[in-house]
Amino acid sequence: MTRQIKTGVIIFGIILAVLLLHLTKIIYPVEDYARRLLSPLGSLATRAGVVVSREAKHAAGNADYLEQIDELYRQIQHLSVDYVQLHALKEENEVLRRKLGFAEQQGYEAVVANIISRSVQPERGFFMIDRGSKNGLETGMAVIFGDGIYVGKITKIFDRTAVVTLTTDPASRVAISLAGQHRLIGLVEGKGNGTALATLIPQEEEIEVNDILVTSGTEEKIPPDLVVGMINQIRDESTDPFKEANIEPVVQTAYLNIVAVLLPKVLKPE
Amino acid sequence: MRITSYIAVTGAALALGYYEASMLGSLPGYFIFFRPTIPFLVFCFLLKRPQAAYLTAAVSGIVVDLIAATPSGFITARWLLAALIIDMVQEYAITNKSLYGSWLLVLTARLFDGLMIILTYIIFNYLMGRLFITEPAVFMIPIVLIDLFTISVLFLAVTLLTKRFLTFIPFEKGRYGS
Repeated sequence: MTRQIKTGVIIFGIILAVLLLHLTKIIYPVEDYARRLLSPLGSLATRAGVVVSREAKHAAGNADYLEQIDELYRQIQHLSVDYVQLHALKEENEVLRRKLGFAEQQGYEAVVANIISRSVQPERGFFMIDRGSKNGLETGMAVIFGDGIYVGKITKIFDRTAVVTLTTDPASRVAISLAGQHRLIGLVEGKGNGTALATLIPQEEEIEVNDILVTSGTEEKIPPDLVVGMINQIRDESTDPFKEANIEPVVQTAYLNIVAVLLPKVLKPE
Repeated sequence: MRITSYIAVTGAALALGYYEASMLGSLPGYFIFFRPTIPFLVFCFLLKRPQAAYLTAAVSGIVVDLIAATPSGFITARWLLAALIIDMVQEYAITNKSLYGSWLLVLTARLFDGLMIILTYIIFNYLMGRLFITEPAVFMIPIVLIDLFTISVLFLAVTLLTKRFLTFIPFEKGRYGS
């Protein structure tokens, strides 16, 4: 028992020492430096997992693909119409702004980040990125994919890394509007397992299946018009003051490797 | 242990840590029950390499604690203590190196880890006011079954390839080989 007792004493000593250093934040710089060293391989490991997931899905069979393709084509048709109308409105807006001599709008810069780990529990939605406060990031900042698809927001920050909570996580809440409108109509709440629900939508608000929901811009650090998801089912009880809608994310976050964090630029005079 | 052994064990520990911290969240859903670190700790003790086990627990635990997306609840401490429990049980309770002995060690380690998770949950969420997310208790069943399968594969591989352990006594000999 002598060896085990000695080992046990050493282990308890190390655990208590590390716990004390962590709670008093003395060890934080060492932890952040270690995270910085470990992040590149973490990113590779995550990508390897995504590749295996993709291959497993392909191997599962092509039976669902034709149905998915048809559904995607229907969505494209709806989106095309919306795009044309929105593009026309955008051009009109730019012309009016030039004529009226508006100052440059508050804009956003994007910091690109790799995903280095994901939550293991399927009912939660978190991932860790390899950028942190040293890169100008703060909690509450919007995380996007591509040109403007809202994925989640930063909820925990370290010097070199940050934790992002996805829109599908049960702890996530984001204020939304309908695409093309800048009026708050409700909240999107995560329901876990890759799903989300739009809630607190007033009964008088007209929404339809395939409508695109975007961020409303009412939250600090989250700009408006970032695509949150698409309505795929509406729950409407006439006796309730509000209706709800199931939201389908437009990007599969399980296959993401790279995201961008939006940093608000300071308002510049013309 | 030699320097090359330490390097090999550290490499294996890093791989285990990255698997549990980074890769597991991206793999297809059925991989969620495959947690190879604790079976590997038991395997190290079966090979009479306790230093390898403690080194693995420390290195892989540090990787998970630092880069896991969800709070890991000081998993380094949990795995080090699990290694200590395995060390004590295999030395004084399950002294023979058999397949059934390895099953009991894995079961003991996983149950101890489960108890530590409950304790961590209470300390984090109720005493420290921090968030620590636990998995559903029912997940333990497939995790334990896969642990038993993993240690069986490792044990039988070593037995068949190295003949390090005896798994049976031939029937033509007596119970005690006479």
